[in-house]
Amino acid sequence: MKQKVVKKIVSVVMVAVFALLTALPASAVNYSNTYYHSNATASGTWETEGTKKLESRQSMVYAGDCGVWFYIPSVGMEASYSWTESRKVQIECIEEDFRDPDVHFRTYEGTFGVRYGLYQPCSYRCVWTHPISETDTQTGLIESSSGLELFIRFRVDICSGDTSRYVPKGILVYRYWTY
Amino acid sequence: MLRGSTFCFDFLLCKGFYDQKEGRVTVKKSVAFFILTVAVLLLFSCCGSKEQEPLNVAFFRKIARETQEDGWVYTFKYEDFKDENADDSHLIKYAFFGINLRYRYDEDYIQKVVRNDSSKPIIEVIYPTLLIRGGASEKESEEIEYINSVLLDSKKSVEELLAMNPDDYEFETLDKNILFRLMRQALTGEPQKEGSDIQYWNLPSYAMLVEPDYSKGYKFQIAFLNGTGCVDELYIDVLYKTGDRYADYVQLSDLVANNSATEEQREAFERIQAIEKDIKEQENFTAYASEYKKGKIGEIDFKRLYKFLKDIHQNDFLRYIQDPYTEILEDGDDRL
Repeated sequence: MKQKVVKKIVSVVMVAVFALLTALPASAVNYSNTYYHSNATASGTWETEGTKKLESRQSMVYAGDCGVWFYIPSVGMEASYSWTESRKVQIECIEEDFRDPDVHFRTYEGTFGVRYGLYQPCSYRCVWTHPISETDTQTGLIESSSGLELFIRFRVDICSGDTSRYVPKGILVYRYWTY
Repeated sequence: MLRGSTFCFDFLLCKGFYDQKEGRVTVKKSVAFFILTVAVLLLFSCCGSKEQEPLNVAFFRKIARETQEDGWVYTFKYEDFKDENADDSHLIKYAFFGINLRYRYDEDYIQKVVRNDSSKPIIEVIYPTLLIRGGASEKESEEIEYINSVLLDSKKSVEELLAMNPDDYEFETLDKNILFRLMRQALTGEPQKEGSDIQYWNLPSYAMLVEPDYSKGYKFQIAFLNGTGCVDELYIDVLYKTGDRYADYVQLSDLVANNSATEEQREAFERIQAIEKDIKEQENFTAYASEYKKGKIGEIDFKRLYKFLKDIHQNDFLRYIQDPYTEILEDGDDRL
């Protein structure tokens, strides 16, 4: 009798532990293994990067389910740029669609400033995400399958005092993430 | 030019474009004229002036630098517009920073970045590929930021900065004497010489670059500072692979410093230092390349170094930017 009770208790505990484990959120995100480096461009103009693929864990991917992470590169801005705190870089994140129009789903803004004494994009923040409607399941939906085709386009501000408008390759180092 | 055009006509005769029977140039007349035109253009381009248009640099920079044996290079920079009437309200005039041109990784310089643009904040640990003073600890970060945002506020005049008394300041992580020494040197000195080549103005103001892959067990690493379109500081080193992790290598400079380098390695290092000196003196990454570009000392192939330097010279260095090494922290990680 005692053995039966013990067995029952153990079974209940095992079931409870199993249930708890399955209820835990899945490991955070998928992200591209490759880091991408931006193309050379001219300040004041939009530059479009190449499309990259990323697999999501979800079969319907909304605007808030993917984005871009930025990293500070090991090269600085060119010597020809004046060190002004009013310079920004605008970055739009877009999901490419071959049948329907591409979906611009996030906008990031990088702010130039001095970080540890060096002039560089000091911070990036997401300033806009495509809103998602509670009533319209298509609003904010960027892909109705798990395969994402993502690209960014970016523009570095022209500021007073710049000697040239050349923006070298690699000024943005980034990778994509998704759930 | 006259000699050139006569030569071209003789050439045409020899190649049979001129039909002697017909007594005139035949159907290949257009080709002949094309060749003649190209030859004339080439002649003029050889004799023409190679001078570039003068650059119109709106600002000047006064820069003082100090290099230490361990690779740290400290810089004080003062920048302002040449036109006194220009709006400098957003200009960041003063800066003090330290960059290590010799070492790319240090376990003390790990960053933790919180990614907030997803519904669940994600923490990413980043091992940067460039060591910058301020990145080692919170204290170091506080002090370098204090220096740059408070002490060196752009609203202050040069005279105010020169009047500052070093005795009034103490820092735990930075040597204040370096700051004040460089500040005085820069603010009382002349504006830095401006480079004459726009190509070099378009190079980064700082860079830490490395060959993307090991070949024959080593790769070259090149780091430089460029304030006004010139090569101000340069450090070239060789990284010997010792394992597969991102920081598994030893540097030639360390082998030489520790007396554990072979005779060939020592010779190669001396050669590299001579190349650095020539590049800085000539302000050209391909200076005197013909003297070393085909050479090899032991395993060190200077043809690879030349290719690397030439790519920087031509502003084609994307493939030498090293990707950062990062890890996403999972629940339960000690570093959280």
